[in-house]
Amino acid sequence: MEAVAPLMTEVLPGTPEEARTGAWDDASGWVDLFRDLAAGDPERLGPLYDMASRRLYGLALWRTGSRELAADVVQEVFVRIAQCRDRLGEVRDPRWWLLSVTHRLAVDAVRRAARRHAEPIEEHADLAAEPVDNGRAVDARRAWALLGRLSAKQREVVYLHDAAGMSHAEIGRCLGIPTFTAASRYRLALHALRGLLGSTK
Amino acid sequence: MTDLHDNVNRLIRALGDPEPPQRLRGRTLACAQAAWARPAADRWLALWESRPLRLAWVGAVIALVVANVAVRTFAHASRLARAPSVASSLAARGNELQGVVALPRLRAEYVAIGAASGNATAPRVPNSTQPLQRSEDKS
Repeated sequence: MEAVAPLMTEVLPGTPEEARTGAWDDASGWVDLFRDLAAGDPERLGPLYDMASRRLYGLALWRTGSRELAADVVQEVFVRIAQCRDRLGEVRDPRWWLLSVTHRLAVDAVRRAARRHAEPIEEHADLAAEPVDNGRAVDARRAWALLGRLSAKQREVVYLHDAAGMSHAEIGRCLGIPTFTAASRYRLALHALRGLLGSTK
Repeated sequence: MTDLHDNVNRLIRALGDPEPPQRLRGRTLACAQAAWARPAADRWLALWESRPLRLAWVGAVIALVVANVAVRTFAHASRLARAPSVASSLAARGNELQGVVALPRLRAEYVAIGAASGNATAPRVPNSTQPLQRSEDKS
């Protein structure tokens, strides 16, 4: 059985700490960006991608469990943005709007993929790992293997809470579920993860 | 338990936001630009591509089918339920009809001897010692 690596205390690239303090949290920048897009400036798609792609890709990857599907979802999100550009000015908070669209498209992508063929997430056990160093890569690989045994809904909530740093209320708002449901889903996911971790020790 | 909790948190923390593939940016922006160049989606296309509206459409069709089946079933059942009531109303008037239609029974003393066994005989002659019963018909 593989040993649990020592706790990483420093902030590494790609960690939730960076994501929380990055461009994602600049609310005014998002509104300006969407206003420019609604005004008909397609050049703003590039900056939008740079600001949003990491978070959107992460959510899609945790929901779908597949890099290929997650990339398709991100691409589809930007196609949707271009298609409904006239209404972007009405979006009050672009970040939640983007996460909600990504969530819905990821759900659709999983459903379509399930119709075509069933592909367990365990086959992509090392997909989400950021091999910054060996200890972290081992942790990430192990975590992803454990997360693969959770349901897609639970994985998604864990991602939004722990990786994206969202509160239960924000998660509920993003996914269109009550806050209590989001909290309950997260609690059950952690309980399941602890059980899995205990059984693999 | 606390160690387990810490381990779970540490493992999840190790994942963070994964980096999107390098080629995804170019691909995504190219598709978005192409979609941007196209005219805005018309209303029918938006209706078709909207999942909630598609679900609403499917729901409406299912509701119509169910309602159709239910109406047919209940109509048939109510027709069956109405049938006994018609019969009972006829039965109420049945006595009157029976009184009109039913033939009067032959009096026992006029039944031919052996008629029950199928041997036709001559009519029985009434006893001469008893006076003939006159018919009520005076005509």
